[in-house]
Amino acid sequence: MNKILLVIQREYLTRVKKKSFIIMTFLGPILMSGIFVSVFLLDKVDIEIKTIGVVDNTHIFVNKFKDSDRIKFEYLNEDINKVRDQSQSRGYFGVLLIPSTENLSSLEKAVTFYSESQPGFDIISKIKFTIEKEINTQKYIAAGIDEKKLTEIKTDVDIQTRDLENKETSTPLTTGLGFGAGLMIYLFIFIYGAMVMRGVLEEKTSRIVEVIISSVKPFQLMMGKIIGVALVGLTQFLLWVVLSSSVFFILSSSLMAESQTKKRQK
Amino acid sequence: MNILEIENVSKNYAAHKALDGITLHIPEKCVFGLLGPNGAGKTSLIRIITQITAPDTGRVLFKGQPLDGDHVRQMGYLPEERGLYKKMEVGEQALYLARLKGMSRADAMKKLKYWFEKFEIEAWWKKKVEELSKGMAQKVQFITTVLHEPEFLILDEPFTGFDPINAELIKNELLELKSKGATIVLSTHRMESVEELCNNIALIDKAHVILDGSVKDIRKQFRSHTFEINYVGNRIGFTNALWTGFELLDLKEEEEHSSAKVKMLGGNLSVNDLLSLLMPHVQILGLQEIVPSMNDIFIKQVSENRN
Repeated sequence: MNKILLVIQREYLTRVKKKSFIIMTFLGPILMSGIFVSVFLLDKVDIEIKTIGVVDNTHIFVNKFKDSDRIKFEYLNEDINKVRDQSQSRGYFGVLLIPSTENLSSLEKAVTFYSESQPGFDIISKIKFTIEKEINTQKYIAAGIDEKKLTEIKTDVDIQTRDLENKETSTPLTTGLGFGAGLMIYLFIFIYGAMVMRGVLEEKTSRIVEVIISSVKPFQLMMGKIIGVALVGLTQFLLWVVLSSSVFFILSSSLMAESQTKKRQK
Repeated sequence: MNILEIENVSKNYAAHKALDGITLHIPEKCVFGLLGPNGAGKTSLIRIITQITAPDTGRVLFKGQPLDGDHVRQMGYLPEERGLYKKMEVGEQALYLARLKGMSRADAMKKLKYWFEKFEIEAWWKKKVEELSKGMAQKVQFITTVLHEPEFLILDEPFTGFDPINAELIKNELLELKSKGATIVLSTHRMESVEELCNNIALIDKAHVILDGSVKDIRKQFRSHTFEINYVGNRIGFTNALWTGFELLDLKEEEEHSSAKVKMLGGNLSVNDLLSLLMPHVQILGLQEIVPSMNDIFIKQVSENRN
């Protein structure tokens, strides 16, 4: 047992003292929070309002498209070809054409969106959602169904989860935790498993292994190595969590404060 | 008394027979030479003694007891394939290896200080192993092998990589350890060091012990009763003086004296008989028996075994 402790001690200390360990431990959180912050900043920077010209030949969708922070809709009673040609000079991000069709069902496949650059998922899904909703409404009316009644009939079941002691539990939270822990285990095995492997390789190539296993049992050596490296991993993870969260906390609070002062100035 | 008794030990690696019914007794407080050509099975035997591997059949007794984990502390092993952790500091590493042998930190520090001073390498304590030359690293390895004062030492080619001065240093250390009561098993191909250091030897070839005993007895056993005689005098007189009991193997005439090799054929003849035959005819300057060297014995035995 004592010998396993000695091996653990050596494996742990030699790795923790390494420059690469120290660099990675401090660089990791900076990179991680850097990613978070850059996402946050990108979100702030990209506040350009996209205007979309809507040529609605059916006249069903007038004022149905709701403007948001990023997307504004302009209804145009003009020829699509003309609008399309002038779309850039008029400052439109894109032009939506809703052609008049024989019936609503054929409209489902006839809507076209023209734009210079590829539209984002948010734009397309917003348009799709609005059109689908409106077509549905029109279909209900045609079928003589009262939409208000339908909304009343619509059910939304929400199941509460509680443990046997009647305390509230949260399924999404546990699922999230499970996923997070799974990811950590995967990373842990991936990174530190390779570290154990490199350790064994080092002993073989430096040819010290024969000296060592004439003093300790191979099981003790391997056990010491695995536990030692696992402790290195846990130390690094712990430091990452502590450092990341503190760096993230500092950065986010300063950014929040900055945006609040800007709001006040406005 | 024997410190180590190897009884009928066999070891196979897949289809290869590394050791086949080896029986050897190593007396205590001696230097025992474990000799044999490459691939004879020496390292396999050493690995069994150091408990790195176990024999397929047979047993090994250390001080009359079957080998167990506690015996590790009483053994020191310097393998032929030896190395150190390259990124570790010399002192730290020596301390680690000593503690793996069961020494306390304080005890190990004290002994390391003594040995580092003795080998004049105190300045290396904080150096990394990768900064050391091969010979320097070998010195550190030697220290870590003998540091815990084992009663039983196994050294596989301990002199390779050393310059003559350091090889002499190691040789003297080995003799000192022996005088303090340690038993040393020396596996080497340097036959001159076998002659200098070993009391007993075992010659292994193709998984078998082909020769075993004390160096003195073995050399006696292999003597060919051949003598080298330096004399001044007539060549014809010298040859005529030798009668049927002696055979002249070689005769060289030089300016100042002649030198002849004579073989004694009869078992009941003595050096006195030879001298009394020659003395009336020539003036004898010197006479000495040509005793075969361990190198000659090694080559002769191994080639005979292979034929």
